[in-house]
Amino acid sequence: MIEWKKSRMMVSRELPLHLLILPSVICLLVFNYTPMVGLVMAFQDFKPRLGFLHSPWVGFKHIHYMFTYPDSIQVIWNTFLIASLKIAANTVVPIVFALLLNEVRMLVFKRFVQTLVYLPHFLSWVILGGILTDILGNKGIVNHLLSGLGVEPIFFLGDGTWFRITVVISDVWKEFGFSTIIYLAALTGVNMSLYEAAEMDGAGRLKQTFHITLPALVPVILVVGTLALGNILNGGFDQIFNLYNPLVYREGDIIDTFVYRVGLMSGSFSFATAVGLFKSAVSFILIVVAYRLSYRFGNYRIF
Amino acid sequence: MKKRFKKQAWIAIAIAVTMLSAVACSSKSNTEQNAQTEQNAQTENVGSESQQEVTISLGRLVGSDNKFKNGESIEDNVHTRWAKEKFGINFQTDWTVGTGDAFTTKLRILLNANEKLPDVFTLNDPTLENQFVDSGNVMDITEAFDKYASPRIKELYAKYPEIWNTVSYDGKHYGLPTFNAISSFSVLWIRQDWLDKLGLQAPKTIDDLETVMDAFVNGDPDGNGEKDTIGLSLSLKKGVSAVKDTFMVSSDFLFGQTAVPTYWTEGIDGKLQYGSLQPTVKAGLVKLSEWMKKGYLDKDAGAMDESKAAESFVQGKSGIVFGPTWMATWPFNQDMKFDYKPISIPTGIDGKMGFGSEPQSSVRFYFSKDFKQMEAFFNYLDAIMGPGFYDPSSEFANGWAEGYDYVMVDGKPVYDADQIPGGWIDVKKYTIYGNDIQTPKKELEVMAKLGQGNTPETPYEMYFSARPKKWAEAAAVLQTYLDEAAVFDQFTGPPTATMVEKGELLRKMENETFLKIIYGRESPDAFDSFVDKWKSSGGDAITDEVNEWYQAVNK
Repeated sequence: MIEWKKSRMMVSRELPLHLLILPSVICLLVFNYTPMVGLVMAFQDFKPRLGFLHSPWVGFKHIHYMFTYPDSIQVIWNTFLIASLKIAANTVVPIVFALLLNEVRMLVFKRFVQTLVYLPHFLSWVILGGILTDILGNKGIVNHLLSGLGVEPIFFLGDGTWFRITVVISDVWKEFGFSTIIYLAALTGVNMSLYEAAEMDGAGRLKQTFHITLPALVPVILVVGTLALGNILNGGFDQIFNLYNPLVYREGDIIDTFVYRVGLMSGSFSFATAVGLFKSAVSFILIVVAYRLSYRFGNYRIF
Repeated sequence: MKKRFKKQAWIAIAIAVTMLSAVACSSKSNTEQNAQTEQNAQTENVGSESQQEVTISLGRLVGSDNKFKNGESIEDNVHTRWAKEKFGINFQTDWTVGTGDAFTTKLRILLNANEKLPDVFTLNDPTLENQFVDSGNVMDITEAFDKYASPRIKELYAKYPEIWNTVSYDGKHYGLPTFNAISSFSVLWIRQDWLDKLGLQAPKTIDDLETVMDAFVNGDPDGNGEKDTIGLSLSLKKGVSAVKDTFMVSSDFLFGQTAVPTYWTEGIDGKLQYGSLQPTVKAGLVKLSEWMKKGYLDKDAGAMDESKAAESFVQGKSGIVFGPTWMATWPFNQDMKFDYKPISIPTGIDGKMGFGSEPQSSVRFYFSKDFKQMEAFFNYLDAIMGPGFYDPSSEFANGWAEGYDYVMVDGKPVYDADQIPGGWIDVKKYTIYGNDIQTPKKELEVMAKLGQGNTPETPYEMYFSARPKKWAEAAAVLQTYLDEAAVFDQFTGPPTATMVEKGELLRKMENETFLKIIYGRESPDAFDSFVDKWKSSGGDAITDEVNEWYQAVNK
């Protein structure tokens, strides 16, 4: 009897909350789940006129074609390499930066720097593409400085290896300020008495950082890291598309730009869908694995 | 505490619901309004029955830049009232969308679902157009055109019969292609002050061009004592291509007339051949790589898109740029305080002037198979094409509607938005085409006349005289060689099966090889292995398919 009453109370208490979330759930179903039906295109020879209800089924033809397409392996490798470098750099740099900023005692300066570094996050790659072409150009400021040091001008956007480095560094420059905020927020939650205790025991700032601050950040790092793994095959379409050119196709072409050219420009929808499906499947597997691992070793449930 | 929370939550929900219903209400009242206007229109119709009335159903594009005044709408406005009065045409709006992409998507969905198509609609996607014709839902207009098209329209299409290729199937015409202006592409813009300073003449051949570029780079034309100028601005980001991919600052004039990279042109055997494979292109690439090595070109050309590449000329760092006549308004501007002018392109690598032209047609009209009012359509079309023919007697010579996109002040049309009561309205967006329908080289004629220094007489000449003077000068230059030099891409059909499958791979290979040759990372001989590889990786099949299409449309 009491149980029943309790559960009724629970319902009446939580009903408004469920109602509140309902629009979002509906949107999610309509815009995120329903379109997944379109994935059947990957196993059809999709003709827009026939739609995916009537297009002929071809099984794994497009998946097979993807792995035998002369460029595929190169493109997948490029994506994997660029994305991994980005994930690694985008994890390490913000943590280090957050730790350093956390040590700053002057609040005004701290706030100022924090705002300054996260501003690039709001710039679009279309604009940044133009700016980078200027800055990194043959007569740009970077090469100007390098020539002051006696280094030959580097064609950052036209040389394969340099292109990859440019892509990773510019992405970190654009995004690290934003990720820093997450870590700074986590740092404010650390119990101050721990630091006091450590100080009493004679630990210096460095020791405090390694034994108190970093362990406190581990859960956040795990969450951010796991979510980032889902992007292991996302090289960053906007960025690459605005920066790449035929000179760096071999080292810079990623799955998304490739799909864009094949799918949209040449109109082979099924093939593009198959590639997209492959990407999603890999991301899904990686997220699940990372989730399990962080539960097992970090003893931390992300979701 | 608990209670208070509950109250807040309910308030939040209440707000959310109100907002949602507000949205729903506003859309409802819109439909009501529409219904009302329709009713009004119907009551009006009763009055004028002197003329036989016809109804043409349309899908309409009403973008955010599509403004209305005087309580008008896309169904009822100054243009639709004109059409009704003059031709007895009622435009019935089946549906409206906000963007050009949405328009195409809507038509694609209607086709897929086999639902009713608008009587008349336009498309600019050959793949989709092919599907429409395949579906049997669009009308063969061959006879209707012969029967109803006005003499000047017939004459125009007879003059450029190849335009029908885009809509020809088994010798019948399943749509009506509209022409592009063919009035802008392309001239060479050069720094006259640099030429004067270095005592040089405008280049007539590629050899001349080399001399000029060499002086522009090594002769310190800007007089600052530094070797910081470039000879020729180029954008190679989209490969070595012409206006179809690189809309300005391209390099196609260098290759002459025999072949334009990425364009299909008829060879001596009457078959279409792919431009990028021809020996003249190899010779052109060798030239470009020499120029790159000698510093005539911007070292960053490969990474720059069109507007980026044009910047160096605008900033006074580059001596020559190849591009359309309208570059005079953009990217060029008033702040360029140096003497530059448009000149004829030099003869190319094969000793002839040549460059890749814009396609003859980009947009096509299609008609639902159930549409019966072709006569009314062609009458209406002839009237709205008046400005496209630059016909001084057209009732639209000054603009589409007085008080909307112009007003008459002291007997002269004024286009200044401040002087038009209620503001400037783009009435051409109310027409069935949504834009001016151009006819080839007519705009060029008018502009060239102005460029030759003639005083503007016709309304069109008056209107164009507001454009920058350099634009008109460029038109006058272009007119002298356009017919001789323009090379059209003669493959205008939908992408063939092998193109869909392999086209991207081949194009990527082409762009990569060409740029590496230009940058000296691969020897010019890489061109020959590219040609072999292109042919064996699907290119031969594409060539066969393209020629199959070419034979079919030319039957």
